[in-house]
Amino acid sequence: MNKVFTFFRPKNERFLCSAFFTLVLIDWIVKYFQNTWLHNFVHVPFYAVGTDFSYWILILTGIPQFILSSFNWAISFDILMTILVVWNLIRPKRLTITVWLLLYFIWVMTTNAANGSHYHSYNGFVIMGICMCFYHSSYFSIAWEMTRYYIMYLFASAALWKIFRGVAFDFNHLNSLMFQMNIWHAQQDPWYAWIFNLYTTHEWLSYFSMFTVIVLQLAFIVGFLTKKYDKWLLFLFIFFCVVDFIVFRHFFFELLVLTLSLLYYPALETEGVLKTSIR
Amino acid sequence: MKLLQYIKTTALNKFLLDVHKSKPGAFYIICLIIILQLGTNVIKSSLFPFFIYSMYSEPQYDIPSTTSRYVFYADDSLVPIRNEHTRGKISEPIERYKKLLLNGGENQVVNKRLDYLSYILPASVVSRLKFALYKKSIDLAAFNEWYKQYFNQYVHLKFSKLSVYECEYSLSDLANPLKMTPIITFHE
Repeated sequence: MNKVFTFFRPKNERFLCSAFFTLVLIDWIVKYFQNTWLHNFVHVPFYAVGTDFSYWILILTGIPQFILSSFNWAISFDILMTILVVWNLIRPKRLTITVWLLLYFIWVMTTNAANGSHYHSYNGFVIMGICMCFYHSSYFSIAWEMTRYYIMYLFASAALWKIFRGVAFDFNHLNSLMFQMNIWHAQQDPWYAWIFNLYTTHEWLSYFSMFTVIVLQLAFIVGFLTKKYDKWLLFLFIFFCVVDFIVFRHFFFELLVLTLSLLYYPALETEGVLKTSIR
Repeated sequence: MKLLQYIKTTALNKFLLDVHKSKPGAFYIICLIIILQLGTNVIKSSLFPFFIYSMYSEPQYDIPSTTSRYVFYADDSLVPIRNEHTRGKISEPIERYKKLLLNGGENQVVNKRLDYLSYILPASVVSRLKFALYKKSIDLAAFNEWYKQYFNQYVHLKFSKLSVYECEYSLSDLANPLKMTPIITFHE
């Protein structure tokens, strides 16, 4: 196992920043083919503001409505985003990263509001993007550490939420979700039909799987207490995303970028690196 | 007492102490984020980019006996949609439109949060907020024109009439709908 994690070591900020913006660029290209660049939503008649007050504020400012009021504004926004991603990959500067992050904030919230569902996976890039805004500053290691704690919060809160809402004790929960969300996929894909049938015919298996996931998510509480098990938490994070992709057909690529903070830690090249960030 | 001793040795506590000592400003910002996050969570809300990962957490209680989906007819011929992702993309706005029409152009989830806010804000402020929020986020009259061009992004088809039906199926027979409800018809 130790051999697998030989890359688990300090890295300089340039490396971390390049790794991050490479992933952002890949995702941004994929988003083009998924029709989620803003020029696809010109004149959209509804914005889903949902329960998040940040969306309320953004909609009240009128910024999304202005960008989507004409094709030219929307495509200019998309092109500017593309230029900034490539620029930050080649010549990262705090200013250009901050401008990219501000635009990314607007893009995520606008595309989510226009799409009608708030896709939380984007938050992986947002959180890591906030960290990159402190590129080559004495705050970088604090932000990097906060990203690590964000992972712990993300999974631990998900498990606690399921327990408090009683889902953890609902024997039919996963079974029912499979019927509601994936029955049509099972109808079309023979390989997926096998998984679907497995979970919907064996209730004990679906409950056991859901219970295991809750325990897995709860395990991230350990990350608040010690850093000794980070490599195992990294493994659980990836395992969760892969299993989720197989069972629910959702791949949280954007969220996976957060694993960088479990894999690496900033090298002692900047003044002010926290002692506690060294592993 | 032992618990307190243990908490002092945890990674999070050491980190916060370290930040407080070296960068007090950052420490107070972290505290503010935690307070805001917990505060909004109390009313089942959140502040982007922080959230509770509540996906798949809605209690289900029963296994459904039927399922429904939107079916599209262009000039009275069924539009074949093989990709479920595409179907989801073109069905989502229809679903939202249908729900908004049912609720008189309002969203129950948003209204519930506005009710929560009325406990801490004067009624006139909440009422103005509600008016501005709906005015800026929903334009039902513009839906027809917009949807036709949105549909064309995903399904490249020429038509003079596009009809959308909501079909309900039994889980044991996904080929023959039990019920077909017309939702909306678009004309070129």
